[in-house]
Amino acid sequence: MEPMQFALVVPWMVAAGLALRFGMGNARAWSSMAIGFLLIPASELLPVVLGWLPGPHTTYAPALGHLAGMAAILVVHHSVQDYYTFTQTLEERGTRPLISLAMAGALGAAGLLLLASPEPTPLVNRAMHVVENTSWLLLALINVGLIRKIRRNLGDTPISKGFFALAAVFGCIALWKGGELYLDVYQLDLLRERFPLGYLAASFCSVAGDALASIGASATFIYFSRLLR
Amino acid sequence: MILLPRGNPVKENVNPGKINLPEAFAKLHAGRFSGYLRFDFQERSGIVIFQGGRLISALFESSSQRLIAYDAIAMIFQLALEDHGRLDIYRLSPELAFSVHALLHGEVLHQGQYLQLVDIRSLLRQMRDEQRSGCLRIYSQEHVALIFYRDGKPLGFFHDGSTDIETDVDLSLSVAREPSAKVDVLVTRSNVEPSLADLMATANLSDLWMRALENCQRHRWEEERAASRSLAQLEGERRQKTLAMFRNAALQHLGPLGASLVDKEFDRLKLNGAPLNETRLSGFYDNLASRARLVAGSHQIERMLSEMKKSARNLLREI
Repeated sequence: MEPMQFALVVPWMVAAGLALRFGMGNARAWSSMAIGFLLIPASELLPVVLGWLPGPHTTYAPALGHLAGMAAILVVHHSVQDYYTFTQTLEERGTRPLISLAMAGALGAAGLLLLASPEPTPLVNRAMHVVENTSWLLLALINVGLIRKIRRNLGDTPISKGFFALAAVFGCIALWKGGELYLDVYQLDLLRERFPLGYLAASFCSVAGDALASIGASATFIYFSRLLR
Repeated sequence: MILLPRGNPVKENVNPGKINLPEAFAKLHAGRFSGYLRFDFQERSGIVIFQGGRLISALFESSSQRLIAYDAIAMIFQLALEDHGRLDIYRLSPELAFSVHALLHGEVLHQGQYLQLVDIRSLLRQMRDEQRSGCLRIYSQEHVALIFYRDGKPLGFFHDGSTDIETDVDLSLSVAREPSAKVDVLVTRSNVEPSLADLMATANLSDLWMRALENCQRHRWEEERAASRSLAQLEGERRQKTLAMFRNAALQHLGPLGASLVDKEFDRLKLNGAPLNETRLSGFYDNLASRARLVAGSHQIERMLSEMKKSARNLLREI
């Protein structure tokens, strides 16, 4: 793992810790979100940790990381959608163990699918990275829209202000994953000398969005904790 | 209030509501009873007179009503079942029983005159001169005595404990000596028949009793229905007040979404007419707290719930 990558993962680990601390003792929707935020650094660290293990599985590790990343945004989006449903119907669906089990099952199934499929080549990993980033970008943008509606439904409830911050976090995530998607789709990492400005701008968006999102997530969960004290 | 001396008591202070009166009358009939049954209800009273086992007279009086014969019996039956009055039975001689009947159906010449203010001698002289038949009723708070006259001549006295017309003057005069004693002058009507028909022979008292029972049951049912209706109304009001109070508290602590949560959880209580109580509300509090955790912190929720519980307790106690 490059130092830059590591520097960007650390704030996500902090954010994941804060999210877990806030979400686990709280309502079910917050627990799901905490699991999702935990999977963000996990998806970054998984390839590194698996890479340290002996054996010819180095190409599996990034693929597993991409799958974990996709699972992360899916569960985060699911929790936002659940919260939106709650503000519309005042009904809370699902249980914490069920969500955790479904998450573990999805990750296990993804692992099995990887093992049953041909060994992922770097091209396959790149395609998976594109799919992961596309999912993140789309769902992060959808989340911003949902949060706007949630905020409107909540009105003057004690927690409502915290959703401004959460919307900002998803905005930063969209910037982060959008930048990465742009780099991947145009393969700017290979064409950086021909398109230095585009590469620089996309890289900047990616790094800045990543850093801001992780710091913003930490701040948001601290803010939520204060609001729900 | 029908004022009569008490006679010789057979039974006193009986609850007529617990007696089958037609059966009791039949027993008195079979035993050739002479005397009267006195029914006292709230500000109303009735007298049923037996002579040699024949039910010769019935009278019912209230401040606004005077009923005789079957109407009186029907009313007595009705009130006995509804009003839980008091029944006293006194034995009299057949002649005295008849005299009491004549007196009760007689005409009142003077009523409620304080003895101290009345020239009793001239009153007696007037009775003699006009050759009146009837009686002087002398009474105080505690006692009643009757002095019977026939054709202007005194026949004798009827006072508490006696079964026949007596000539012993002492007891009757002792009532007259009481400071608050009053006198009524009653004259019997000239058309009083010497022999009266037996009311039990000319009508089926059991039918009157059954009708009274039906009326009583219908009244009770109506009363219960009215009471349950007003109870339901009261319960509805209490529910509305409680809901309004909960909504206010939720609005204050959780905002408009909190008020909606209260509506939803209150609706979920599914009381189906059952009264609201603290046991039922405990489930409401738990569900509300669980949902509220999505929008507020535990301290805020606790504050809101404690406010709700306190107000609900007061409200439930107050109503």
